[in-house]
Amino acid sequence: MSDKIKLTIDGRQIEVEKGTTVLQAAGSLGLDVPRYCYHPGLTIAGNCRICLVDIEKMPKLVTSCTAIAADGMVVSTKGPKVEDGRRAVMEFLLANHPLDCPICDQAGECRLQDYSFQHGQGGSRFEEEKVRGLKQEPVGPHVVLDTERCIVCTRCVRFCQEVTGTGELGVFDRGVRSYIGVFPGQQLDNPYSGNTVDICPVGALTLSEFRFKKRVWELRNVPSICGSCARGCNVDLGTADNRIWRITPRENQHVNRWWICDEGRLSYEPLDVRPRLIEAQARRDGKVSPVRWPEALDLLAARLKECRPEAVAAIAPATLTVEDLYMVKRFFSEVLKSERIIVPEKLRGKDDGILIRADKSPNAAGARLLGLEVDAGNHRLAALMEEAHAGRIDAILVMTDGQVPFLDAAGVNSFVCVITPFADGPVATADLALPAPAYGEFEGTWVNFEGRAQRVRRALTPPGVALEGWRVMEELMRRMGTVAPSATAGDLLAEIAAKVPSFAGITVRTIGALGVQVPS
Amino acid sequence: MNGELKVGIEFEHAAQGLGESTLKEIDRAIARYPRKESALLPALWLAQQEQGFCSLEAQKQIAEKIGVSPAFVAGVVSFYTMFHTRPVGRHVVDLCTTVSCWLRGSDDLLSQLERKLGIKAGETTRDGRFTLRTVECLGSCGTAPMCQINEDYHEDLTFKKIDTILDGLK
Amino acid sequence: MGALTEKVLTRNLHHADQPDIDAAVGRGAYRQLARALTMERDAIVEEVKKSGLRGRGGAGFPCGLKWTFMPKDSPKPRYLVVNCDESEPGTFKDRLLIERDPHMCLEGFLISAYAMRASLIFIYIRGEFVLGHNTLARAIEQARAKGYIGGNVLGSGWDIDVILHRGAGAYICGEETALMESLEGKRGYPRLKPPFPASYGVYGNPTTINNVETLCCVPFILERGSAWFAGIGREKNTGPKLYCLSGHVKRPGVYEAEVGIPFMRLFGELGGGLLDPKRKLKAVIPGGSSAAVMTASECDDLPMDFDTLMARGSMLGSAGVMVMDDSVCMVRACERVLKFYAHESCGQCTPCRVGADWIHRTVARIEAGGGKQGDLETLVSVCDGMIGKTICVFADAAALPAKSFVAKFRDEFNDHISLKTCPMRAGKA
Repeated sequence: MSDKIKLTIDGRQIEVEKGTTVLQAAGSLGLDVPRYCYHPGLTIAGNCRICLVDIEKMPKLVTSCTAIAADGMVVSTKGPKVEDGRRAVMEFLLANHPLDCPICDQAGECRLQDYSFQHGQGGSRFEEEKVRGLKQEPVGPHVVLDTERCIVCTRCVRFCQEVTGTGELGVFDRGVRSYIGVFPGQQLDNPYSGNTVDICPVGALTLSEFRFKKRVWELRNVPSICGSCARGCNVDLGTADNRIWRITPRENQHVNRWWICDEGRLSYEPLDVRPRLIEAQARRDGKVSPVRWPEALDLLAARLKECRPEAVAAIAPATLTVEDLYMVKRFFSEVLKSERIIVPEKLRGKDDGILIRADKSPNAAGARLLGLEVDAGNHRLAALMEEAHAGRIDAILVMTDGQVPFLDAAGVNSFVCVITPFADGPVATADLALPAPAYGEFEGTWVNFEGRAQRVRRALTPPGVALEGWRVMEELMRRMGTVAPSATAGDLLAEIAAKVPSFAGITVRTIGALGVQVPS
Repeated sequence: MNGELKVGIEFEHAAQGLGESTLKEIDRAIARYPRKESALLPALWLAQQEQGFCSLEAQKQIAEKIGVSPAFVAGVVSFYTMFHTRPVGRHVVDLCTTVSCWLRGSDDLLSQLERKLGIKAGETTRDGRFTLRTVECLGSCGTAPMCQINEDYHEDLTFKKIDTILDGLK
Repeated sequence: MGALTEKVLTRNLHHADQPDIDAAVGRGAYRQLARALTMERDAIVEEVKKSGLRGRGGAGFPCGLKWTFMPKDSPKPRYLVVNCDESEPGTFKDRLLIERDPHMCLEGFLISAYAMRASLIFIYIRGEFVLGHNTLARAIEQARAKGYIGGNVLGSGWDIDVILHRGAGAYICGEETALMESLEGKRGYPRLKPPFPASYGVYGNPTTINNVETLCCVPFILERGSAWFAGIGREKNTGPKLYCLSGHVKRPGVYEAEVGIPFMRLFGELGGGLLDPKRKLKAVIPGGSSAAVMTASECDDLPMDFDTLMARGSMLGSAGVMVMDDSVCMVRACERVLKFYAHESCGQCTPCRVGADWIHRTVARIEAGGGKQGDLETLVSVCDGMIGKTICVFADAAALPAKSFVAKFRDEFNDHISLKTCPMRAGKA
């Protein structure tokens, strides 16, 4: 049974699945038919009318987002008739538009700007007074609305109806007075509200947290993975001045489609606020003082050598990369001949059936694939602390970017080494503190809850010298045993792929931009 | 004539939500249709019958019953000209000003009405007795000019005729 | 030609008791329903096709052909929707039918529903028609009590229910897919087509939508045969038709005549000519305000049928005939027409949402004396930008008449622009 049809677009033949729209078919030929209301993740509205194309034997121009490709169809996406049509639509779109690009946050990624450059005409013939609307109206904790810039494409309304099912947004009134808004007294506060800003093709919806912070052309987008939960949404980190200014979703149909949650979107915010651990520091005779890295590592190795191997434990959360956890495991099994590695469990809320997972560890699946058990209920962690209090534990290696449940370094007699990016956590009571890179500063592999290996990428330079967990482990092994150092996290992944069957074939290349499923 | 056009519907609150009997009527309306969403317009009519307008409280109650969001209901309410989003006068005078009524003198009728009531189209008299609106064609062009006052059509209007009608409305 | 030898659709409208079922039955109501229920359904459809009956709502689409679009083998419920959202400016015929002869209407609806195998009839009536609504509601209850509506109609084994649904003020809900959206409790936004209602209508089920007057013809086609119906008027423009006469005419009202009655006969003989005989006929809008305006001279020899009016650049539409004498400022008339469209645009599609308001405000500005050189060129080009680029034909219905006003009365527009006021107002002063 043939479910393919052939059509011609701008003189080029193409074969597509039955049911494909002309716009999609044109897209697969690399033709960028302009669109405002069309979004692949939403139902088709066909209301903006900018995607007009000419189809042979059809008397009128047709919106390509609504036209289903048919066998033998001959389509033009260019030519005077199409250009005239688009120019007319463009003029209508801009007639009441405030043309306030210099103060609009959308500037630089505004489809009105883009298409009016390509399809518009210079100057407006609209002589009437522009329709006035609502300006800078906060419609929710994260979203600000400007109805004068709005073209009522209803992408945001459909998003809230179809993706989140929350329906906070509606179109009110009709005709030229139509406007988007929330029900009076209610807010656009669903956990995914920021996506409405991303899909807004114009500057009508902007993100409170990003408004007026940076011009988008000043940002360098680094593709990465969100670390806020076990979904592992694909994101772009918008960086400039060695900071993340915003996080936006990166389309990945296997993971997060086009969306991310607000928590993930704003997960960069604490990075700028929390105090950083800039250099290694050691507590000697009750006094904390900075130490240079080699010295710190020597000190750590020396202390560990003094310990009973079975009385050394690691707390290694699944925010660490596969590379980190692998090396922790190697260090314990090869040097200490011990398996006292505890991967704390981090649960909050519920799986919401959209993206958000209760499991807040981005690499819990990766830990399990390495043979590390996630500590359900954190019972082992609690038991470890009890033992530490009882003086039965000699040393604890804590690798964390936050607080560790039950950990009270001051109350234990063990030697506590904390490897962390931040100075506000357990550093204060640690015997030795080593700076680690924060989110955005390290590179490595995370495996999401569905077994997809993905690359979290380095977009920023850490303040001071920070070493990833795996590098610290390598250094320790060199000091306490032997190990060939890996040049990069990628080299290490190659080793993991060779040695751990669950990761067979997983390389930086096979992971690519969109990740790869680990062998089941 | 060519003045500023500003968007924004004024939605208003009522002192309280819809009463039990209206809510029961809404349930009955829902039961009449193959699918409950069809009962949205009938439900809004019932709300307006009780409260004189479709209050925010009523919209929320109806949204709950129909299974849609309040914003969706507000979108529907504001689409249709007969639903009021804020309180109106006891008598809503909808004067048709479309072509046939205009040809038969609706302009004069409008200015006479505005003078008599002391309000402009779109406004409500201070005593809450009348709201005056201009509306588009009411399908009564053969008996133009005409107006609708609440549910009733008044046709072949002269100012004298409407004057008498209005005086008879308390 | 033109006048009918007898009244058909309007024959019982003068009886005050006609809305009562006993009186109506006494005058023959529901007799054709009883007969239809003994007929093959497809035979009824065939009769309607052969009659040449074209839709009376505005588009003039062949009614019988429309019925054949309903899929025969679909397991889904099938609906007949009666479009009683009569809102086209200048049109007031359906209102008359439902207020004065609701049982004739119901009979037409029921026969048609039977023919197309529908199990449910929705009657969508515009919100303002309160009297019509109440009259129909009462008629439906009476018909239900007599067994014309409900389970096993007249012992035929056919089950049918009727739901009367009230709109709330929106012209666009007369567009059939906007009507369906409204019926589903939504904003009246026309749907993308395809899919068409016959395959994907109310709740996604097969649906046919017809105008009230159209369906009222059906019992008569059964009673007297398709040949009788087809014999009235001319080829492809057949049957008795209700014409709505309004504006500057001595006897405005609804007139039943042959499709194709010459305008001068309708206006002169039936309507009694101009309201003020001292005036001259200046312009006529022949088919509701969406139809292009005609000058007096264009009306001289003008058969009021679907194809002639189409050929002469206008349309019969809903047969809402609006007459203007020479006291009328055509710029102001144009402004009135465009005010309607600016107010009634649903706002879904960009060209219509912005364009309908734009062209209205431009004409209003010209009318008020604020016109500038170049305005008319822009106006016409903005109209062209609206035409053929939207989901439904509303934008065309606003832009085409606007263009016709400018084309046919360009001098008046130019005078407004050069004099910076309305010449007629200036003349009076």
